[in-house]
Amino acid sequence: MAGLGDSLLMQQLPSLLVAVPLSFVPLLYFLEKVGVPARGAALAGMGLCLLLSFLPWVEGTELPISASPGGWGGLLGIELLLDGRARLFLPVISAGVFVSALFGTRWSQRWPLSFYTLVFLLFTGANGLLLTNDLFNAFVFVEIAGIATHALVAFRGDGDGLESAFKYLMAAAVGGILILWGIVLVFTATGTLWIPLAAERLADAPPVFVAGAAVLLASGIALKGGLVPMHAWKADGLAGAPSAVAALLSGPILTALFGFGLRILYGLFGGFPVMEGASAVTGGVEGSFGVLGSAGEVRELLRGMVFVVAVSSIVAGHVMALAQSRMKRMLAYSSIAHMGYIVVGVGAGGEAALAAALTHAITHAFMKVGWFFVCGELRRTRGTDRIAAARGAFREAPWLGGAAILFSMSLVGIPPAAGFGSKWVLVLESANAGAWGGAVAIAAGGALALPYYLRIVVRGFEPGRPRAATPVPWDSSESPSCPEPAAELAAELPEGAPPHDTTGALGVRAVAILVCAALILGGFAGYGLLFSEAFSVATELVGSVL
Amino acid sequence: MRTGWALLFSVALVGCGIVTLIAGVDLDTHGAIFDYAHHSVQHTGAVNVVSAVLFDYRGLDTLGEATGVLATGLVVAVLAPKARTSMLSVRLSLVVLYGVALVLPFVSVLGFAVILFGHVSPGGGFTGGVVLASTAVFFAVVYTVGGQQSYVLPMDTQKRIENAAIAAFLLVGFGGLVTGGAFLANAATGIPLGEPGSLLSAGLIPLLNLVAGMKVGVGLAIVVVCLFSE
Repeated sequence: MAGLGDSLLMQQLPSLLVAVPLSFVPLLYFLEKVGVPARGAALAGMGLCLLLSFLPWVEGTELPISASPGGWGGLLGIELLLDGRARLFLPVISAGVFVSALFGTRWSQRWPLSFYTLVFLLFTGANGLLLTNDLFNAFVFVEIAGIATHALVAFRGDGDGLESAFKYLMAAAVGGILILWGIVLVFTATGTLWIPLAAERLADAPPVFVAGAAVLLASGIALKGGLVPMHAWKADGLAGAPSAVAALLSGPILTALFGFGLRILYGLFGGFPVMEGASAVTGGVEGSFGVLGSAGEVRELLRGMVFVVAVSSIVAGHVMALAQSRMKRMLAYSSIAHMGYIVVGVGAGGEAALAAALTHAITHAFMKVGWFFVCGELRRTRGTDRIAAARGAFREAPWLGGAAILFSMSLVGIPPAAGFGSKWVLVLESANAGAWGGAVAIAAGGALALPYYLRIVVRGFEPGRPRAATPVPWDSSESPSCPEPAAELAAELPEGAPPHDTTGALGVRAVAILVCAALILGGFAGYGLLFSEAFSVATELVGSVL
Repeated sequence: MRTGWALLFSVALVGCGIVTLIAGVDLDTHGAIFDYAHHSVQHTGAVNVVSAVLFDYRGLDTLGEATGVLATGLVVAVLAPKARTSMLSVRLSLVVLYGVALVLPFVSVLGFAVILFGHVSPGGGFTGGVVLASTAVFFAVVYTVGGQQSYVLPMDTQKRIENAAIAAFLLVGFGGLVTGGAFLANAATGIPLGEPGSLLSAGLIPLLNLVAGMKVGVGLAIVVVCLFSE
């Protein structure tokens, strides 16, 4: 393996991580023309991308790896930079996409080629967004991912799907405009799109431009992430999407967005300084740095606003989730709350808090993907994602119930599940930093979250089936070849009949993979490794602006 | 109420734009802009600086934008999948039929010229592609009368061209990676840049122009034709 570090493969890895998923877009098309089924080819391609995303973890790899398509460097061309942050998130994105594709949806059986092509476009966008060190290039990837998302959300082709896609379109368009506008301001003020150079030049730029760009970029990213007060679209946008798509959008895509946000915050604006009274855990790094640092009060004001957004996201997300009667909407609101947790960690500013935020982003991605799969399985067997309809489902498929319990434990933060560790550090760090609101909100968040997961689990283990299963809105006349017996099955089955295994074998495999991930992440050894990795990334980020 | 907020938001954005423009005029930025103007011919062999930036310096952006067009076509095809073209039930007048027949060849030639001379004169793949797409739309609108006979290029062929174009773009990229040390490398691959200003110059830029032109042309045609047939 000695030569691997210097090989062309490693030097050009950032370009490859963008170009390879993209090449599968035409490749799937031509392969299908010669008779290769799209699903198999797509899974093989995603496996390849997953392998590529693990390459930076090979022993002896020197980070960051910088590659420039065209070979002109960041000043003249575009730089793709694979740093510790990207190395940490790349496997999360690839694994999330791979598992989602493995799980698939019954709608993906209808038009497999379109479905997997769109997933690869989304994949390209997520990887590119995470890797690029160029502002406009980032916008291009935001666009690609956004366009693919609309079609995926509406993939069911029914009214719900179209309505969701329209809401998603509106929110994404406004978010995209805000981000683009922030980029325009930075470009006007600095004359460059290369993030490191722009950060340098922003120091001498008029404060109006800096503040304007910061506000626009932050609100654009917050809108895409669905933070309060720009959260209203999110549940509507996910409600009509197929479960696998909702999983894609809540796992890999949010992770990529968070990675991009970190690059903007730390790469462009110099991050938040560590809060006053920072603890011994963080090593007490203090001081004012970055372009907004000339006015410490402005920074503190901004931080205050960040905490308000984070805390209200946590509270509103959990309370709204508690009030939902449909699982997908519930999970979407819960995502809003978890984004709030992550932002608390970012706002607190120390290495430990940031590391906890990174870890939480990763565990949340996996566990939320897992929960959406449970939701997808319930929809498959019950024909609806109403919580009331889950009655008896876990009794019929105990493995599903076990997975649901595991994912819920992690999301709520019950030890020894993975979510516990990151929440624990987040609470400690926000308390140490004096952000009591954040600490209390995170602790209370767990208490709020417990009932709504428990509700589903308890209902799932209740005996009996729901009396009237809502038929699936599925027009069988349009696609007679597609085996989709869920609706008739639910109608035909007499009370107490032996459970039918309607689960696709690949779906089981996908959930099994996630359960393994949950166990590995949840084990203290695995969690310790992940956290120490995240800690070194956080140190790098915070250190880069000193 | 909602309209009010939307209006307020739009006005605020426009206001921001005007402020940026006014304030930005005085800003002294030593950006990459100057480097492009001074060095692009030497670096890329393309006389058209815009083409040099689009297809060489920032080739990845262009690949991304071309992918965006493909994605849009795919979205429209997924959301509006019905493939019947019967939008016009009235016969257009003879003037229109013959007029368009007279104009169309010239428009197509113009499209190809804009694409092929993209590196030596104003124009390029995107511009020319739009012109080509307009000829396809002319065909679809004018000669598909009463749904009896479709003069639209079959959707399958269109998709084939589109996918082939993006595959070609990627192949050029991977070729650059292997021979020139960077994805989408141009001069570094050792390809002769030629005499700046001549048709065969600027290395791989004309090829990428052609590919992008095909992609944009077919991609836009797919979008428009899909929306017609709804």
